[in-house]
Amino acid sequence: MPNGWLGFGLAMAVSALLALIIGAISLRTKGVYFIMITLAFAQMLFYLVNSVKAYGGDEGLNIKVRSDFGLGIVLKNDLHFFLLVLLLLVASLAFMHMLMRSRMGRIVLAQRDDDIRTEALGFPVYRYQLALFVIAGAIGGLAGALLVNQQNYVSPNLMHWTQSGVLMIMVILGGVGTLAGGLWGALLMLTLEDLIAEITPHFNFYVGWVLLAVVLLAPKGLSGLSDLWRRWRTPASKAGGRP
Amino acid sequence: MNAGNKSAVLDIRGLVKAFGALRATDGVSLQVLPGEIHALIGPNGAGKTTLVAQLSGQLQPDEGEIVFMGQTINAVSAHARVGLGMVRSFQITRLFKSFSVLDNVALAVQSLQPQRGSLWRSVARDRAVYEKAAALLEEVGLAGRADELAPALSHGEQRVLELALALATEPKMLLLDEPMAGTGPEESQRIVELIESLRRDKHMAILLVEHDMDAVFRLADRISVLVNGALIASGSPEEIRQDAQVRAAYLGDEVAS
Repeated sequence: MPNGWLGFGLAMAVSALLALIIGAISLRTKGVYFIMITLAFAQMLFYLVNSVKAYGGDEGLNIKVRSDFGLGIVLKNDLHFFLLVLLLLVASLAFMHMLMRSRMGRIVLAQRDDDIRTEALGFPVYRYQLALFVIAGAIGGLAGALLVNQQNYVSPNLMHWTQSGVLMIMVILGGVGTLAGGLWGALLMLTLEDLIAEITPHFNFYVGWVLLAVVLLAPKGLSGLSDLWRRWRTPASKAGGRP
Repeated sequence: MNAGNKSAVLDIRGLVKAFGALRATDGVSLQVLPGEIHALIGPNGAGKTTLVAQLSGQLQPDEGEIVFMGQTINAVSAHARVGLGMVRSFQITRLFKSFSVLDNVALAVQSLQPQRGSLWRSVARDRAVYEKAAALLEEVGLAGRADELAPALSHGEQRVLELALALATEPKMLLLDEPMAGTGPEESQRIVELIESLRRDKHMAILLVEHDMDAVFRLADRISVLVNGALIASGSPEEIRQDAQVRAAYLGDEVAS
């Protein structure tokens, strides 16, 4: 797909549409059931894509040409590519930051505390959850489009559940429920991967220990540590407060 | 049945809800009139909370009709019933524990705003919402604790905040599920006064489920008694006090003196 605008736009639109369908069904369940049903959808799609030989099946597909955005952006140039990724990262974070501080964000935070209570205040909780699910899907599609461009290769392995696992580990390392958590988690995970890979091929063994330490010692991940640091610096600070 | 069906705010007709062989709600019919506090009492396990859950839409009845302000609302979803003006409070305190006291009420106020769930509108610009929330906290006596996180409140204060959340949605009718649950005498006094002021100042219709008999006999215009899912009596506090069946089933010697 040489046209970047079209390709990235389609990746996001198709992902959002799939999220709408999968979310509409999965969000009728909660907790462990929700995890299992989304996992089931992922496995279903994984095997479906594996069986489509026209696009390489389980061997994947080489993508020779990177997306073309015009405007003097040349993605073959590593610096250009990096700047595009950085720009999209900042834009996504800015968007999500705005979302969290919006009226919708307030409802989303509330239903995380207590969905029945939120419903009892008159908010259609399911619709907000679905909207969020679709937004997450679209952002996932954007990330996918970037990844394919970076690797010049796309394979069904990206749809394997271990990929979701890696993303979950990043979020847990960084801190669940915070915007910065995803960022810190990804940074830590990829840095560890690079550093440890130079010493030993058994990278996952060591990441496992780090994950264990984080879950046991700092349940809020790296973002939790920065909270602790701030509290230590300003002991008189008040908890909570207005937006 | 009561003659004043037409003017009733809430009219429950022959409601049935069974869980397997257990008929948790067994043909219940009752009305709540405008400006009336109708108390629902009954021993533990009588089916009071199950009834409230059907009225507020968390549970679907198997049979019967729920008519709210002239409209049958059986098929109306829980959140839409709040929009119609029927709002519940919870027996177990359910607050937003990561929110400040003020933010708790502000969210409830937000539910009345146009574009209440907008992705583009920042809460920081919602000054009017916060002013209204602050005024409400003033009214219920929690203004001094506005910036605390909700779990930092005492149990009694949490019960008041629970009520304030329901009030902030400007209901036409309140379903109060044991508002005094677990409160001490001073705290329940405070809640009784708050409920009294709702009837006096806002002419609000209230269905009050409560175990605290002092509070019930002080507040209620009418009392219905639920035992094993069915109503065994309905009438004025005086009639209920005298009813032999009720005393045998439930009141015992508590109000005999």
